Amino acid sequence: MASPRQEKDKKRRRPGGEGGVIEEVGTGIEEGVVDCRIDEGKVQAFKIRLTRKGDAFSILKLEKETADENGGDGGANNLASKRDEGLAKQVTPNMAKEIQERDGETEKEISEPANKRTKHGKNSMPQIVSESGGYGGQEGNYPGMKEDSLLHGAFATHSNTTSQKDCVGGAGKPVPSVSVSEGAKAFQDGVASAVLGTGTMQQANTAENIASRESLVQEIYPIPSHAGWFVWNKIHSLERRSLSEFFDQKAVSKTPKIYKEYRDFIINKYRENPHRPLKFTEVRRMLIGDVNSLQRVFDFLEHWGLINHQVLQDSETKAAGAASPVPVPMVVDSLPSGIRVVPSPVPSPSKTQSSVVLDASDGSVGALRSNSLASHKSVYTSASRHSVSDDASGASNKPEAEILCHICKGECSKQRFYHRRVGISLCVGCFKNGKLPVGTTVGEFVRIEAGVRAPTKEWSSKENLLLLEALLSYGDNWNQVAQHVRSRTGIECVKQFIQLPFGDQFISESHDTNGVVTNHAVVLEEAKAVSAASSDGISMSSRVKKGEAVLPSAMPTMEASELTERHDFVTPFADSTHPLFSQVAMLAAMVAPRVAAAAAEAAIGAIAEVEPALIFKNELVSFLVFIRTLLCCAEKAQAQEPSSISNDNTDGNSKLPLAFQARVAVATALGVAAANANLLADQEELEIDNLVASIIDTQMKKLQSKLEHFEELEMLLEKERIEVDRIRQQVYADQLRYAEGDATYPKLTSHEP
Amino acid sequence: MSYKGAVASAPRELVSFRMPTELNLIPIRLDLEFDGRKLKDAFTWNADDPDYEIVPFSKRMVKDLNLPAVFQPYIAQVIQTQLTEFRSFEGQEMSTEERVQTIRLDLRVNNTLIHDQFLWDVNNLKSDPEGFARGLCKDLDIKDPEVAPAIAVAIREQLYEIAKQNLATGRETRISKKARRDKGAMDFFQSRFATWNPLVFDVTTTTGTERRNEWDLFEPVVEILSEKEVEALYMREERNARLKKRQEEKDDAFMSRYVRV
Repeated sequence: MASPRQEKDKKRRRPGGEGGVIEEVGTGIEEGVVDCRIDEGKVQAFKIRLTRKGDAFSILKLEKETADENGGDGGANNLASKRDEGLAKQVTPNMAKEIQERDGETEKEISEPANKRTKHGKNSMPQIVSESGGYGGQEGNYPGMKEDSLLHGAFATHSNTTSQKDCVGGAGKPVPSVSVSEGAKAFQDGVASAVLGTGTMQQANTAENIASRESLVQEIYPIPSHAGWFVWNKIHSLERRSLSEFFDQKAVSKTPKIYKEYRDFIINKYRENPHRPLKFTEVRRMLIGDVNSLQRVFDFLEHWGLINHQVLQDSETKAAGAASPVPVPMVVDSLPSGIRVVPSPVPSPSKTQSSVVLDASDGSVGALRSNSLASHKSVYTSASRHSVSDDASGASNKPEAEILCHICKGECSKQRFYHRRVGISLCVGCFKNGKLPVGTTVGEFVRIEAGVRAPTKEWSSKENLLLLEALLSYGDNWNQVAQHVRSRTGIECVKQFIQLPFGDQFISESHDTNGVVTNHAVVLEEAKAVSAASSDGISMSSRVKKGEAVLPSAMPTMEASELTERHDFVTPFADSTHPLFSQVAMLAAMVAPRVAAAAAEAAIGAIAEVEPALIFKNELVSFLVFIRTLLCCAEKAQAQEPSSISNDNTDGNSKLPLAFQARVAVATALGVAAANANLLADQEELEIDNLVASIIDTQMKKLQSKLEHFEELEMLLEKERIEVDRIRQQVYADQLRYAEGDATYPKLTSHEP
Repeated sequence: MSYKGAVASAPRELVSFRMPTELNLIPIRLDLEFDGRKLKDAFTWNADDPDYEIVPFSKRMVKDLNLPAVFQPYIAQVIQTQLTEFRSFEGQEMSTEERVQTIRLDLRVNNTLIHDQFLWDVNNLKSDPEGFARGLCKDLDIKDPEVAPAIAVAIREQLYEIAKQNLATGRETRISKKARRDKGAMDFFQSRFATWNPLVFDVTTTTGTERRNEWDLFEPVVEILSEKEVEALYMREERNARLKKRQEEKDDAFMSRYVRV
């Protein structure tokens, strides 16, 4: 594992380190040995072998030397001098092996299990990163600190930018108590020095490392510090002692190998989704073996936090997060000895984790955060999504939260009408039936469909006014308009203008002032109609009366009237002599006028989006208005209010290029056809559903009758069996009697003569 | 986390007969019918408790359940019979060699229906059915507090039955017909799922992970029944029990009439 360190000339010392030596081992991999001394009643020295490849660090080995092993050269002095010599006291691999053998329990090896790595194929070399991602940030020595406090300080540090003061402050934090064994204790010590050593080496790697390390941080499965003894490819003495049944060789099926398999399987299973508690019952069915032993293994792992630790932490942080909005700093608890990097199979880093990472990096190199690199757009959308969902679902800010109708409390996430001011949603049924909450009018509701996010920011009435004002004064000079509106871009202005309700909505709203809430705004809503159709100049003048039948207040009867008057509806292109238009007209006549209107509008919207230049032409706007007018008049014609706009519109229409008309027509036709097809598909689907249901029903009946039959059969069999039994007994009795008879017969005969 | 019983489970080591679990609790099942009233219950009895505690226990039970006093001697008698049966085995020795068998759960408690099966080292004196049952209920989120004890008793009953059979191997003739029938059910499962025999277990090739297609078999299935379903199930259980009883009576009659001759 440790590569040869014979090239002494290549090694160089880092100034300010704790006697650390860093050597270069070819291709960018640096290997270093840092040793330090910890005086805890007994003089101990640790050597940490670290490698660095690029930005990634790994601790290859922690080696412990106790003073006694130094041949009584006088512990501390000897070690100190050794440290000064730097290189001289490096342990060669052989020596290390020796120590390892001699002191097998205390010597720890931290390395990524090969199987794990290759399995995920992510990292080609063992990498060990503390989950804090930042302990290395401290620069240099800690003057005036005794090694003892250094030990604790190293435990408690968690931020890149922690000043030494922080570090000292952190030293006050209790190191999680480890009541395990001397081995574990020694290991803890070792890790402390490892942290120290990393800090030394990381001087060389400035901020650029941080980002990459942080990206690694996301892949870490934290384990609590007291479970630091855990190593994938080894079985710790603690495990041996606690689960002795696997190691006493008494049972054939309980071997260390089986134990390791159980353990690895359970841990891997848990790590598939660390945020969900793993249950024994779940694991049990996947493992062969005595459930009691399995349960003991499971309990052992759970006890040590090797599984279900994150779940616990999650609930804790959730509880803490509810109290304070500030993200809890990374749980120091699981800091140094919990060093593990496992490429996560499920890329689901917890929110707390990322926020903590953010916390750790701010002030240093925030720009390197991947979060900050997110494009403006994504930030914007996520922000807007947040805001929308925020007020859409009220208190809960889950975007996926189910939205309930305010009136009937039914689920209406798919399609609903949303009132911004009051912040309530209505389902389509309630809305159409006019069941509106007190104090709201139809016009204030916006239709929201699932998947379609509500407009990013709603236009305030002031903005609307500004827009209209600007339109009046600047016409179609959208740049100027945008400047006038100020808070909006040109495109947004265009969009808003297209969506803006026109004409009689305002008129009707003025009617509404007398308290009558009419439903006709639905029509406005649906078709975004502009104004009532004027009978003059349009070929449908004669049908206006029919249209009147579908007056807004009669909304619930809409469907019926649609049916009866379908053929009377005038379609927008009906007046055209162009063959294509007549085709479209025919198509449009097939579906409900509102559908046609929606299709037409969608078509125009799409075209406008694809070629925004077109929209800048006055003609288009007026054409749009014209189409709306036409479509709307099919449903609601208010002949008594011939607005001047419609006159303009007709004028505008004549000015429109035929090509554009054709495009709109085609698009509309497609839309209409699609709507029609959708309708048919729905019907078809319904039928299929019905058929399937009946098939299932029949099958059920069949099964039931079969079951009945079987039951009957069972009864018969039972009867038969009883009968057979009876006969058998009979036979047996007969035999007995016969035998008896046999025995007595001779006697009888002997008496007879 | 030390297990004092570890020493006891040496291969081919023999111990005097007891429940092959950590606590020497014997499953006791009551199924009495008297005066048109039925009493069904199952619980465990610590084998280390003296037998004379049965009478106070049964008295108390009668009092707690508001049963007519006539029940008391019957209850005491049933418990005593089952205890005596257990005591009769106690003189013999049983092996503690590992033996993993499938334990099948198939029980209804109030309106919870549980089907499950798992592997159990039936000779391991460290096993803990109560703990297992508790964990199972916790994992499956079963609220009914009666379920866990019922599961534990069901496991114990099977362990007890298996232990008795193990004693009786070689003396096949003395196994009652009932036991043989139960054993038949067991054998069926053994053959079907190829009971994992530790002696055949090849440590080098076999893994501790069960084959994926068997996962379903070892997964617990829990159904919460409605009142109506419980009713129907109860009727069926009753019918089966009646049939079985009749059958047993017949067997016994057969035995007493013809085998003794």
